[in-house]
Amino acid sequence: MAEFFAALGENEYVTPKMIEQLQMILAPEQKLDPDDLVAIFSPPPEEELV
Amino acid sequence: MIKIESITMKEVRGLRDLTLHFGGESFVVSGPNGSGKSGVVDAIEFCLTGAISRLSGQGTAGITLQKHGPHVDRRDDPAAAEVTIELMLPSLDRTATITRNMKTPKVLKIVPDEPDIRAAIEEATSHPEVVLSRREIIKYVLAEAGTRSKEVQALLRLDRISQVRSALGTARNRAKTAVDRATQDTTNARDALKRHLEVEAASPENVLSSVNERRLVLNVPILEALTEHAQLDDGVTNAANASSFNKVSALRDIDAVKDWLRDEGTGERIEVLRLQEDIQAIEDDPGLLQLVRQGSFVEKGLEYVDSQFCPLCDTEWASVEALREHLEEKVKLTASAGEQRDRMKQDAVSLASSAGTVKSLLTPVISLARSESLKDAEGRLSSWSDSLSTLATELSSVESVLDQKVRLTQGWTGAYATVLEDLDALRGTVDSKPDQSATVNAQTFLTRAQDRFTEYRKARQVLGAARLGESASRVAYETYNEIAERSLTEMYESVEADFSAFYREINIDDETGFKAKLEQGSGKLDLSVDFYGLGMFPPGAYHSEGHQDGMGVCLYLALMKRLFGDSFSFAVLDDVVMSIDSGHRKQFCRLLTEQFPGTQFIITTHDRIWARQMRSEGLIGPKASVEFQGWSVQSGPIVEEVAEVWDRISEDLAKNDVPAAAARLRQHLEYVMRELADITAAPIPYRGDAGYDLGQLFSAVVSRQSSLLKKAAASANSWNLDSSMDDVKEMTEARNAALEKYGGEQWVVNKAVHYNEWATLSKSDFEPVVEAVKVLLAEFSCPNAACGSWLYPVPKSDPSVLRCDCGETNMNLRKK
Repeated sequence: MAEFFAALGENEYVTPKMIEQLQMILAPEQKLDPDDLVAIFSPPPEEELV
Repeated sequence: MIKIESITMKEVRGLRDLTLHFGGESFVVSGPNGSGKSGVVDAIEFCLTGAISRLSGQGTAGITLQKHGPHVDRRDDPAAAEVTIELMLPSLDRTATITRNMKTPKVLKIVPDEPDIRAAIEEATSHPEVVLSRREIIKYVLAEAGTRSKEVQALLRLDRISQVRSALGTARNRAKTAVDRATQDTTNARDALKRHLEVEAASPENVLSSVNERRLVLNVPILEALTEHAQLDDGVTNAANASSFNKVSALRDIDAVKDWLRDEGTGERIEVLRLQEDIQAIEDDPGLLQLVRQGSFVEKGLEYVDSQFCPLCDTEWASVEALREHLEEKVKLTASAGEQRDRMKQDAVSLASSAGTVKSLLTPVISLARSESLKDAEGRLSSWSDSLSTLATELSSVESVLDQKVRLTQGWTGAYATVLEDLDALRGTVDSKPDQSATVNAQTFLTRAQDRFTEYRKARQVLGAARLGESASRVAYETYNEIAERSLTEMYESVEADFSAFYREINIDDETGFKAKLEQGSGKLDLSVDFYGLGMFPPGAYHSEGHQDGMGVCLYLALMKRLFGDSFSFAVLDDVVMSIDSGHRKQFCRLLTEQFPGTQFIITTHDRIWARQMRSEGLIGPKASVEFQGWSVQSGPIVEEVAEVWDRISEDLAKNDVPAAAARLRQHLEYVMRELADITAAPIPYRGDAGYDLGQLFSAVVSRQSSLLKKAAASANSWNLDSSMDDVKEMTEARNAALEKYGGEQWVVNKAVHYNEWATLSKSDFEPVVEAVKVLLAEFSCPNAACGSWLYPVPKSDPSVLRCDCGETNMNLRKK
C-alpha cells in the first residue's frame, strides 16, 4: 500500500487530503465500505471563474 | 507465531483425557486408522481457532461443533470438552497457556492475559492454515484454477486486494456518473443564463456586454471584468430586496417552453422512431427479447459487483474477479442483440437528456405560475415536470426502455393536451402587466441575471469538482490495479520458485529439472508443472498420486514461507504424505529439516515405518513421538508414549493400580518388540494380517540379538581386537543377566502382561516385573541416555555393523 500511496502523491489529480482519507479507509483493520471511497472522490466544489 | 510445548485434551472427538508433551519440537503421532490421531489434530485446530474444519464444509450437513465436537459420550455436555495448550511465543520469548472450551468456542482463555501475549496469540490463532490435511492438499494442486485462486488468496490474505480493487472500481463508476449528471446540470444552467441575457454563448464578453447595457440604464459603473467575485447587480439600488421578476425575461422563459414544444416536442424525433421500431422488433422475437433483457440485467449486475456475492442472485463466487468474468461472459453471449441494445441505449440517453432540458425550462415557468397564483396550471406543469424526471430515470437502462412503448407511441414528452393553453394563459397574465419602466426593467434584469449567473457558477463548480473526483478515482483505481498486479506477479513468481525447488529436493533422484508455473488470470490461478522435460501440464495430467501429494505439500510449504517468512514456526501435517514412497519420504524429511529448521511440525501418520523414518532422518528427536495402538469408545486412544512409559507405570503403581500398570507395560512391550523385530530384521514367520503376538515377537527379537552379538564376538576375535571383544563380552553378560531376571519373573509376566490375568496380582508382585522388563529393554538400546535409540544392524540383510543412532555403539559384524 505504501507504493500505492506514494504513486498517488505524485499525481496532479489526487489531493493530499484524498490520500489522507484513503489511508484511513484502506487501513488493513478497517472494514471496507465502497460508499466511503465514493465520498472521498466527491470533493466539495470550489470557487472558479466563468 | 507459536510453538506448542504440550497439549491437554479432554473429551474432545475420540479423546477422553490425554496430554502430549511436544516440548516445542517436531513430534509424530502414529497409529492405525481409527486410533484417534485425527482427534489430536482436531484438538489443536479447535484450541487455536475455535473451529474444527473436519466438521464443516461439504458433506457435513447436520454436523455441528458443539454437538459433534465433544466425545460421543459427552455429546450433550459440550462444557466437558476442553483443550489446553501450553505454548511458547518465540517472538516475545514468553510462554503462555491457552484454553478453549467446546461450550464457548469463541472464547479463548489466555494466561497470562497480557496485551502483547494476547496480540501474538491472536495473530497466530487467526491462521487455520497451519493445520493441513491430505484432503486440503487437493485445493492447492488439483483444484480448478478459480478454486485454487480463492484458496491461495485466502491463505496469503490476499482477499483484501480484491475488496479494495472492487471498492475503488465502484467509486470510479459512481464518479463517472456524477460527471455526466453535473455536465447536464451545467448545460441547463448555462442555457437559462443565455436565454435571460439573450446571448448566443455564455462567454465573459457576452455576459459583460448584456449586463453593462442595463447597468448604463441605471447609471451604475459598468463591470470591467467577470472576476471571481463579480456581482452582476452590484451597485443596483435595493438590489438585495428587489423582485427578481423581469417581465421581458419571464415572457422569454414561457416562450422558450412553447418554442421547445413547437420545435422538438411535437416533431418526429429520429431517436423515438428508432426506439419504437427496436421495441417492436424485440416484442416480435421472444428470443431477442430474452437476450436483450438478459444482457441488460447482467450489465446492471456487473455495475454493482463489489464482492464475491452476485448482486443478482446472491450466489457466492470464488472471487470478485471470477464473478466479474462470469457476468462479462454472459453479456458477451447476448452479443447478437448487442448492436440493437447499444443503439437503444444511445437513443435513450439522448431522449433522457432532452427530458432534462425541458424540465430545466419548466422550472422558472412553474415558479411564475405559482407567483401569479395560477394554481391549476402550476399543478399540471409540475406533474409534467415530474413525469419528465421519471422518464429520464426509466431511460437509464435498456430493459426499462422496453416498458416505455406506450409513452413513446403517445408522445414521449408526456406533455398534457392543454399545456399550450396553460402557457398562453400564463403568458397573457404576465404580458398584461404594465411594461416595466426602463429602470425597473434594468434592475430586475440584473437581479435575475445574478440569480442565473450564480446557478450557472455553482453548476460549473460542481462539475469541476466532479471531474476532479472522476480523475482522482480513475488514477486511484488504475494505480492500485497496476501495483497489485505487479506485486501479485512477483509474489507468485517467488512462490513458484520455492515450490519448484522444494519439489526438486524431494525428487532429487528423478526430477532434477522440475519446474512449475503459476499464472494468475482474472479470478484464476493456473498451475502447470514440468513432466520430465516433455512439456508443462496440469499436475493431475501425468504425475502419479504420490508425486501429486508431494506437490501439494511443497506448494503449501512455499505458500507458508511466503506468508510467514522466518516466523513460520508451527504447522500440523495430518497424514499428508501417505502416497509418497519411502525414498521420497527420506528426502521430504531432509527438506523439512534443512529448509525449515525453526519450524515445529506436528505430523500424524498411520504408517509406523514412516514414523520411524522421521526419527532416523533426524526430523524428530528420539523421544518425540507417540504411538496409538488402538482406540475404544470408553478409553479413547491406547497410547504408547516412548518417552514417559516408565513414569506412567510408576504413577499407576503409586496409586496401587496394578491393572493399569500391567496394561501399559504390555502395550509398551508389544510396541517395543514390533519395533525391534522390524529394525533388527528378527526372523519371524510372516503373517498377512500382521497380527504377531508378543511371545512370537519376543522370542524372535531375543534370538536375533543373540545372533548379532555372536557375530560381533566372532568379528572382534577375527580382528584380534581386545577392546571390542571386551565390549561384546560385557554386553552379552549383562543381557544374559537381564534375561535371567526376566525369566525369573516369567510366571508373573505371563499372567499380567501376556494374558491380562492381573486381578490377583499385588503391587509387590508386579514391581519386580517392571524392573526386570526395564533392565532387559535397556540391553537392547544405546547406553548413552541422550541417544536412547535401539541397537540395530546395518544393513538389515547381511549386516556389517550393529549400531545406535549416535554411534557410541558401533560393533563390527564382519570377520577378517
